[in-house]
Amino acid sequence: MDDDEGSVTVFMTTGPTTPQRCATPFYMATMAAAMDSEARMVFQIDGTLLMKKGVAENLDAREGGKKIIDFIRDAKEMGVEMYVCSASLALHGMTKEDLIEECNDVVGAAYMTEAGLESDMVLTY
Amino acid sequence: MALVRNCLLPSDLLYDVPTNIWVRELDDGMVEIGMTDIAQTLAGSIIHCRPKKVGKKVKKGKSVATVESGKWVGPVRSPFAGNITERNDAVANDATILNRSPYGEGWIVRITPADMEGDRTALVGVEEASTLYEAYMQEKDLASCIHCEGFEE
Repeated sequence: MDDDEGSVTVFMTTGPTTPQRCATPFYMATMAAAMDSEARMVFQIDGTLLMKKGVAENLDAREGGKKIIDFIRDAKEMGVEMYVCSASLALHGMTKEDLIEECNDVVGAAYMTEAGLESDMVLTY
Repeated sequence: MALVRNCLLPSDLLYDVPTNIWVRELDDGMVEIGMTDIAQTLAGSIIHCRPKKVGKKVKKGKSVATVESGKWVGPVRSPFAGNITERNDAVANDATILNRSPYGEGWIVRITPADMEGDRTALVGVEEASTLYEAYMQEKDLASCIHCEGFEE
């Protein structure tokens, strides 16, 4: 039985200062998961701020549009895994306790490099 | 035809309520599958549908197509393991068919099941589906189905 639908990793480096760039990455990850691909997102640099409590709840890509937190929840419901870079937590003076519950874990550079190397498709935003 | 909160459920179909899929058994041993009226209502105006390729082997519960609307993206999950033997290119070219004719022109793929009898046992007829959908819609806080202009009953 052919059940290998591949894997997709989305690296998210942009954050809430460019809200118009913050919905599509979640949408693409959700679509990959809907196609039964193994889908994960890795948040680095300013992307990490989207995983901070209270940020995505108050952010929309288009004024009056769907909130980014709802894109995040759609992705989680579809099975997308979400990881935050440990160095970027320190960059923003954050700790694990600042992260929303949708975040799976905090990871290091080796994990992130391996994720990229192992994936069939890598998207970077 | 059963009616649950303005949602149509044809009597000649089988249903997989958790995934919102209907199944029509065809004479040649194939099954035709598509989205229910409830599914098209939850999705809203559908803008893309991409069925997987003919010849693709699928496992039970895996995606045979993806559907996108302005507010939702999701899979069409197969209640049967087997092979995709036909795909409906009409819905790939014009996904609004899924809103207009979910049980007719809006079929998505036809599958030759690997274990028709085994997988069929997980499906329910219209009577049980009606009861389950009543609870499902309550849980989803869905008051009634919405039908676009030109909806085919």
